[in-house]
Amino acid sequence: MTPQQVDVVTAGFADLAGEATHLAPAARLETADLIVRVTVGAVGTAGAGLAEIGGRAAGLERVATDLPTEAHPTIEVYFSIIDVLDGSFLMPEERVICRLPLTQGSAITAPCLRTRIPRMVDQMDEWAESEAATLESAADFGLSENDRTGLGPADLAAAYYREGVRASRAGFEARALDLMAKAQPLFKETGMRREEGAAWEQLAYLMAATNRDLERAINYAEQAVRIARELSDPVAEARALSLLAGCEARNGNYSRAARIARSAAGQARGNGDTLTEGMSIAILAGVAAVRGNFDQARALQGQALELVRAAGSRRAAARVLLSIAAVTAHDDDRVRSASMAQLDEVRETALESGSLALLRDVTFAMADTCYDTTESELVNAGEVGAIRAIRLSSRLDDKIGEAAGIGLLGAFAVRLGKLDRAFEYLGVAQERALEAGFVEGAIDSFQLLGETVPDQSYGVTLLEAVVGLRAEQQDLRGQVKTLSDLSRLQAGLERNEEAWASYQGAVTAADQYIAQLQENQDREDIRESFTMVLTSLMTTRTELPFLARYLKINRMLPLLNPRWIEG
Amino acid sequence: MIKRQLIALAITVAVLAPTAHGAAAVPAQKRAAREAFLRTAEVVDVQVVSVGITLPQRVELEQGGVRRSAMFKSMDLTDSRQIRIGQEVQEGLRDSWTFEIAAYELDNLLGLNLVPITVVRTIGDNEGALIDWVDDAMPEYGVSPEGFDMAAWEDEVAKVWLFDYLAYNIDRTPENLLLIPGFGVKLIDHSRAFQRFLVPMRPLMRFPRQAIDRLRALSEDEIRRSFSDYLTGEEIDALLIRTRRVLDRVDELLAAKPEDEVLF
Repeated sequence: MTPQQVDVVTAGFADLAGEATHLAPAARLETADLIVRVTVGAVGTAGAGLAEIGGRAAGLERVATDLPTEAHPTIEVYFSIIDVLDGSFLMPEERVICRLPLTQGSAITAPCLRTRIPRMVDQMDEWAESEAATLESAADFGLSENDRTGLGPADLAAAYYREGVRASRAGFEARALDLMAKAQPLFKETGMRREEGAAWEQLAYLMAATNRDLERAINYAEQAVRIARELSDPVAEARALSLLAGCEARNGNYSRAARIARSAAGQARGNGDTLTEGMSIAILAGVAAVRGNFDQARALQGQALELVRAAGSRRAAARVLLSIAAVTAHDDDRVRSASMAQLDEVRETALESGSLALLRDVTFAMADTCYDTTESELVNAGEVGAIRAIRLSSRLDDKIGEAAGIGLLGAFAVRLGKLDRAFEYLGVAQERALEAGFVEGAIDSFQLLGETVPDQSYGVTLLEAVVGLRAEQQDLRGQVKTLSDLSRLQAGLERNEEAWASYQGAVTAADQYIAQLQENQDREDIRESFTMVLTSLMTTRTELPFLARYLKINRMLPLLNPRWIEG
Repeated sequence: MIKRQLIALAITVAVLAPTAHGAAAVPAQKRAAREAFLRTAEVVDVQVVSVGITLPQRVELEQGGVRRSAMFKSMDLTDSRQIRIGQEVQEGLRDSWTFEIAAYELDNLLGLNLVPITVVRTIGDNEGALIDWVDDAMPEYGVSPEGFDMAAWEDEVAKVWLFDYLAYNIDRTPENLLLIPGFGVKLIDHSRAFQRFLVPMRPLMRFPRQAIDRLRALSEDEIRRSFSDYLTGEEIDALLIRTRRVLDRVDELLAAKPEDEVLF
């Protein structure tokens, strides 16, 4: 927890009754963890468990209703409050320690925990959700009617801005967005141009970081650039340009993003602003990576990391590390250790800095890494990670993240053979993707439904419908994949002639797609993956859903967060 | 285990002999040299590639000034869950390093050259599969279609479909299907291959002639001997049935279509 978060939580809980009074002094004490202890069975060993975590424990104890059995006479689970607060990933052993002395020795990891005592974990999850809601309520930012009384527009704008920055720092980015949206017009009304520019920057960052409308994020960043130029403020101009480059890149405008990022890096260097320079170079690296230039990407990322570390920003370094991990995973999916080690570091920083957006991104990254494996323990861990990613996305009011997370959960359920559950998840993912305006993501979930449904004849019918939807969208890449998967289902039903016809349809679509690529060598959209189209003709297993892939690409493209610079 | 592998290698060489010509002999020598390197080079570094109980590891090997990477897998697990592919159901799923060796043996027998060189080796206390690292794989994104030939690619598709059917690999994804320069294919991660299903997951309509010739030349005994160290009796039985089905399918198609539409 950051000191700001501690302030917020303790202030919020000061007025709350009951167990909250236990939390407040503990929250004041800690710098990293507040331990929530759940004990089932022999309470006498609990103290040893707490000491093992470093004696940082204080606060709340819950005794679950499950009683010990002969097989498991002692089960202890320790969650740090930050895990509960942020709904974060359960992997690192130092954060979750489960003792099953008769069967497993001293420590096992959360996935195993989930397999062995799912009911207990469900109880913890439920509790965590309600606790997170309580904490959020305690940290309800904003101004009451009383606060607003007597304030002029300038003071009110400044108050909204201040609260917005505070909300963003404490990890409540969605709330921060609302507050900044109130501050900006008031700054404009009162002619506070510099402050208005800062509000535009915050709006652009928050809009993009919470996966809302990227066109609007670009527009906001452009407003910030315009105002910085009017005010002849080179530092703010470089910063806004860097932010604009990040938004453009995430929107698939790679050439434009690279041009702006180069300009931002040059200006920032002239200003002696190593943080902005580093983040701008990190964007250039991301663009190189999505274009498949991994060596160039790695070299640029090395430079970027050095610069942001020299600037003393751990949060910026964490964001660059996340993009390095994403590039590592893309360059070679087999090299998971490097990627996972980087992700662990990012996650630590996300927890310390309280950035939900960063925590969501790293949680998705960890879950994706678990998806690309055949190890069942990791697949179980990934499933838990997907649940956490959904919760984090919900707290950010990030509809795309929610849809992607639910789709990912469905994909994990497919991998774990839980087809009924997968069908349910994918149906919801499809609805959410449509609500978020992501037609392609919705179609992708629909396709995964078709591949998942237990009655494969019905699956064929669904995939035939998906082929039609892809054709309506003029999505040749999608048609190749769907026709290829349809061919696979038909072959499984021993409908060979139909399967061959579907495959030939896929080849025709691939031919057209390649012709289209050759006409437009400067294609801008990384989703147009040539090799993925080719390999989709050969696969025998369901692929990672499109939305999850979309977010994977986003992770290679960092955004400069203005509050890193504001301190 | 090593003795059995030598027998398998001898069979492979015998199968290669009737069709070997100058161009094929060189890769066979290189292959033998690379296999020897993987078996005997000094292990200078081992890194865990993933987390979990049975850890795949990236191994650095060095011999005579040559340094190369390889992947080491020693996992052998059986899951009790029910697996369904198409309309077939299988009780339990075996996930084993021995399938990596079997996949390489099968690739050798068919002469497809799709699977990286793989040998049995003990590293630390674990016996497992040591798989040559594919270090010139093309990236997943951003590759230009320049020089791409769809007809040649369709041949690659047919080869992979044949291999994945015979090996019954239920886990073929874009992540374990690597493209190498010139749009060739390398297949990795076969620890979930050799399941006991029989119905193809892809429509088998075209076949690489050389692989079919080699399949026809193999007796049941030879196949059993080649795989008996790596596959259970049930797994070999399923492989034999699939082999028979492929050959029947080829004959059925040849009776109805011109040869060049069926074989390439």
